[in-house]
Amino acid sequence: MNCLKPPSIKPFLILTILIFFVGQKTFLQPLNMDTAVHPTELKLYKFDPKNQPGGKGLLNSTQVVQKNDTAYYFCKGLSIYSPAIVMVSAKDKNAPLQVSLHKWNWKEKSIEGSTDAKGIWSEKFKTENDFGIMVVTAKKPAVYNLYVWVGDEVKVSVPSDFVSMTEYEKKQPASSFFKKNLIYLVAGLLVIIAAIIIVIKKRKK
Amino acid sequence: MRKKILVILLSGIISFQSQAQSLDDLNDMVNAANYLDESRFVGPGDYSRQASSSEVSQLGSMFENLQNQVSELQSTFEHLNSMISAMGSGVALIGALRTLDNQECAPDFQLGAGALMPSSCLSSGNRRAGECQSCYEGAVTRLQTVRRGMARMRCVYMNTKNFKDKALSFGDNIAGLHGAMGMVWQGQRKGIEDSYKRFTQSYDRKYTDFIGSLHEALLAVNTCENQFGTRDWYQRFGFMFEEIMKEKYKRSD
Repeated sequence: MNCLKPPSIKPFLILTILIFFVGQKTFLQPLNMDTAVHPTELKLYKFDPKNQPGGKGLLNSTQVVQKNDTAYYFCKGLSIYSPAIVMVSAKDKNAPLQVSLHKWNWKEKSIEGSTDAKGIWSEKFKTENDFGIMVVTAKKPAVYNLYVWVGDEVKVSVPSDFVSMTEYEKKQPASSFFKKNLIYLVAGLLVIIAAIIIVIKKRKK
Repeated sequence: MRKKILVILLSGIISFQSQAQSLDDLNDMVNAANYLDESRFVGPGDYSRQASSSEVSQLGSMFENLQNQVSELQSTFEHLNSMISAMGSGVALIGALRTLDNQECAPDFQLGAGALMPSSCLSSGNRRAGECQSCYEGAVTRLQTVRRGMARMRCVYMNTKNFKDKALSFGDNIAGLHGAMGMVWQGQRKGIEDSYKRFTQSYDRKYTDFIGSLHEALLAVNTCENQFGTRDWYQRFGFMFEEIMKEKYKRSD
């Protein structure tokens, strides 16, 4: 017998709305005080690779010809319960690209690295809502592809908040002892009080 | 006989056409997945082309084929494929996965031993353990859903607060260095502070909603306990848990 309705999704709708509106108005991307910097938003689309059921999620695949020293990108709408991968694949394997990921602003690098001998740099992580990607090249133009994959949300297990009644009582020895033996304790206390009164009365006589 | 030949011919043509179609699709995808030819972009600015929604969808269905087709990107696709495949293993992995930034919030479900609540269903002596469990299952799922949501909401709050603090500190430093930027920054600073104030108001509203959902979930446990175990469970144990949760997720500024 199941006496309950399924879990309400109301809080999650509310949370999505919260993230969406607040994120839109305030904190879309790493803080930028340089008006010359115009980060490109990387749009994530549904991705469902046939050969990999675990690869279901969202993907952005971007082809780039970079003629400036630095290029800025950002992604938004990620969940802390989703795994994410950022990967850069450079055409020229001999001209490494410097890649950094930014959570708070373009000055502070959260993760950084450069493309390897295969022309590849990648990183996996989890984050909430948005982050920025900065690509710096010494050799121009730099030709590369940029991939951002975000997996479907994983139903994270929450540690149980329950223990058996026996375990619960064991964990609270003092209180359970008093609860169990309350009658005897009260009776004992009354006997002691009565004895004290009798003794005092006898002494007065 | 003639009909059979006709059917065979027709199915042959259809099959050939669909193969040709999928080959065309594959060629399109190869172009969409390959590196751009830099000689085609003569202007001074950067050029970027993002795969469209349908291209990403096609990429999903052709992922395996593409690895063999785009020779220049073969190792790239193999690398991406192996990374995604390693990520596909789910729950244990997401817990161990690093946050993007060291200072970023990760969901924290720990409440301490004092917050644990007793359940009659878990007691070995309960004769109606089966019925009790099925009643509990729904209530506990509901409670866990609320717990996950509250932990995420807390992370949104912590990250936003951190972002705001860093933004203000960063802006103040820059504005101090360049006199002309000071005036511009004051406007931006106020904008950030106002936005954060609106955010905290939203947080408080959502916090109230979540506490409401938590209360409902605990009352659902109480219903099960009334039926199969301890009377007045909510008043004796659930209430205390609710208070601990209220305190843990309350905004601190």
